[in-house]
Amino acid sequence: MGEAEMDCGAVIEEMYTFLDGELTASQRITITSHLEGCIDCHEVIDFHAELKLVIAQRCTEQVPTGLEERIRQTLASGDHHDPAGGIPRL
Amino acid sequence: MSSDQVEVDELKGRQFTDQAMEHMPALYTAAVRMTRNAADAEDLVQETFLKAYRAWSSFQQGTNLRAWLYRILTNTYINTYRAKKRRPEQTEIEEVEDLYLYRRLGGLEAAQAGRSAEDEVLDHFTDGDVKAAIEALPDQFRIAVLLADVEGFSYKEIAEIVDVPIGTVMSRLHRGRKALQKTLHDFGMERGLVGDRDG
Repeated sequence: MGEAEMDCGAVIEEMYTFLDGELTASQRITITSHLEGCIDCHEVIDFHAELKLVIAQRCTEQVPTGLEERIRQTLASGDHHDPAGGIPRL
Repeated sequence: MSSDQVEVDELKGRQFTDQAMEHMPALYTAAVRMTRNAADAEDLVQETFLKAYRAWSSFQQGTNLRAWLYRILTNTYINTYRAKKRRPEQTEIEEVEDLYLYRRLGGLEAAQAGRSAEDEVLDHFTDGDVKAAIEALPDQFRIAVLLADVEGFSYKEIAEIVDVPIGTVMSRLHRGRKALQKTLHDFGMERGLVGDRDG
């Protein structure tokens, strides 16, 4: 599609593929150049980029003390019982 | 068992543990979001490591270990923990419009008023809000959002992890993200962070 210009609707349509890094270099350039001249789309994309960041950053967990050690022991012991117990395998 | 065999097993065990353990904290975080509680998440991660260890000889060195581990985690979750609940898989989700949260936070008007008001509202959502909003999503949507937004996997990787076509991944992500925005907006309303622009 090269240098073809995009309208606002098409830019918003591709918003997540853009934010998720799923577009080709030329598609990215087309969107980026639209954003340079369009405050509406710029704001929308900025907000959703921020939201994506907030979701990633607010979602971490502290690994329980000793979990790594318990995993190492299970693997090393050869006592490979199934913690889910009796549930059919994949 | 011959002593040679013991040595081979030990080597295999060390190689697996060395490579896989660095992914454990991220796998644990994903497991908590999937099972929605710490005790089940711990079991799920242990089981994932055990299954991965047993399947280690089928893993092709040099390919994507992180995606391979998440595939085992996701399969194990779906086949055991969800099956245990004996709940039918929920595939329906409330449909809301695109840009749901942005529009309700004032959108462009707020942006033009100066400091981007909607970005400021995002600052007020706590870790608990975001976690609860993700956990409120039905499994298939929750897993897609988790793998894309929290773990940063590509659509192609997610398609391989969950074993569905890329188009299905994109559709689940699209709908899941909108539903997540609606839940966040509901939390914001409860706490008076945002107004109800419909009302």
